[in-house]
Amino acid sequence: MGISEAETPVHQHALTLKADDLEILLVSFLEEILYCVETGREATDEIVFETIDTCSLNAALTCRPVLDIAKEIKAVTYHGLEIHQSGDSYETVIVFDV
Amino acid sequence: MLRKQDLKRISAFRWEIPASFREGMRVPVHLFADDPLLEEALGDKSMEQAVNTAMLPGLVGQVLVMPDVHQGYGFPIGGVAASRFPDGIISPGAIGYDINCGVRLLASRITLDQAESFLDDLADALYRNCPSGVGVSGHVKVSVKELERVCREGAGWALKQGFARPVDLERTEESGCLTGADPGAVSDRAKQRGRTQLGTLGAGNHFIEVDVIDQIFHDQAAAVMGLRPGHLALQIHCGSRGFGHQICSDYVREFQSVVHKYGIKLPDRELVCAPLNSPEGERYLGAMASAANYAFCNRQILAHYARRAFEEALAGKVKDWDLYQVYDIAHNMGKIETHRVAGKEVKVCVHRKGATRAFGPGFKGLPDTYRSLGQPVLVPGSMGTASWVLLGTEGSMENSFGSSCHGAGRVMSRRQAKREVWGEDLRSELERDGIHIRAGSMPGLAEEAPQAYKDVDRVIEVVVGAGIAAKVARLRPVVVIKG
Repeated sequence: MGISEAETPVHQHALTLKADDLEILLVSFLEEILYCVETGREATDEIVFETIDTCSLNAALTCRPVLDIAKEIKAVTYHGLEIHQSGDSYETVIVFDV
Repeated sequence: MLRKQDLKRISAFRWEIPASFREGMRVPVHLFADDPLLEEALGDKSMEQAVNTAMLPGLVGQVLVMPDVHQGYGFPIGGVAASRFPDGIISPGAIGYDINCGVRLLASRITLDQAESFLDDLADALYRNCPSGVGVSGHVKVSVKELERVCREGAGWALKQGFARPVDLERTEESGCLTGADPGAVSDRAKQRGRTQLGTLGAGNHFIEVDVIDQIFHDQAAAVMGLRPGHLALQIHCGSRGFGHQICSDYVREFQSVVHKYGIKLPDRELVCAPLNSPEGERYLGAMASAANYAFCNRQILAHYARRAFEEALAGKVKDWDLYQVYDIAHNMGKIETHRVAGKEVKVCVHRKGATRAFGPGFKGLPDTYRSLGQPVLVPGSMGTASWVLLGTEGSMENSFGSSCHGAGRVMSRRQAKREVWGEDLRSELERDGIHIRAGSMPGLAEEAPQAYKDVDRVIEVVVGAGIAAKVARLRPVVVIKG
């Protein structure tokens, strides 16, 4: 989105999500971030996942005020969404509607 | 990827992919195109997406693909699909994230000669009065309770608030208000996103454009619409902003599990759907109508501020600086309509995503002014090329569920456009061609470069050749406002 953030003030947010599968969980998580940016005018670059499995997550987000957004994202899509496990990490390509 | 030999030419501008092409297809796919546009349609995933769409349960007739098609998410942009009412399906992805994205056209009595030396002032006034860009709030901020009134009343809310004239609503699809809106089916998140964005243009491919009427092809229709050669007109292209985006996102997520509940198997998760007569389907219809009404209201408020901009820039310099509504149409919408399918009248839900309703002469729902002519169809081009005003025809009722094309259609991704075009250079080129540009973002301008789009004149020749629209007027841009 090309976001510029202020250093302060910093807010901590707790996030709990449940979903039917990993793809829905990922889209739901990114939708939370998008909503936070557009409505709360806050962005996060520090995310600590306290628990995460294929159907749920608990995370702590450190958020800072948004100064500027260069690119509008309308929505997070499921377009061609497949999440692959590669060793102990996951890979995917996610498409945003802009 | 489909190949040309997978399609059969069934008339000069119509190609078929039969339902037997792939297991699971329930209806054929028909593409309106000439040879070059067919090649372009086969250049991305749009035809593959049309084949996937043909697998949706309860479809009737054919999945139709307009010549300006390009790939979308699940459903191609430029696609039309009709499902049987009430036991067919409704799919949020087949309507799109920007519910009731659409176009409004206003005519003027100002000639280009009269206004030419004031176009810079006009561009500044439009940019100042009509908020555009990312994360920008509008002049009108409402409470959640008031927003729910907007959902129910659409452009009628704007009329009550002094942002509209009665004739604006008369000359708007569905008089600017879909029935059946249910704000109770809209999430709190959507309401929060929508509360501050009424009367805003947004960014991306949305624009406000001042055009000059370049050519007239249908004297009677142009006269009724108030379109005169050499005179200015104004187009507004935008939709339901974050409100509609959130509603679509909410229901695409919810319907991921709903399809399992109803035993619907789909080749693409973006095509998730629910039966029209299910509680989930009915809730989405109520939420979609809310977003559609928000968008009608949004374009109405922008039209009000565009009128103010014309007054600021041109009052005292021209005799009549007013703007007169021609029409306002949606090109992302699901509508319950009656059409003839296999010789029988059938009630259907027509999904149009990047496709415009194009009702022919005599059909109910058209304002008295246009009933004998057919519905105005507004087809914006790219910011450096022509836009078109067309009419719906009897042929569109027979062949395309009363639908036609919606624009030029992308041929280049936004990323590719930004690689190949430098925004500042593009602005200089357009200014040299007499097009006054105001844009919030130069990379954003590059994404919308004319070379990123198909040849709109060719698209128009196809829809006219196929008999699903008739030419009225060609417009060329002189001022473009982008977010």
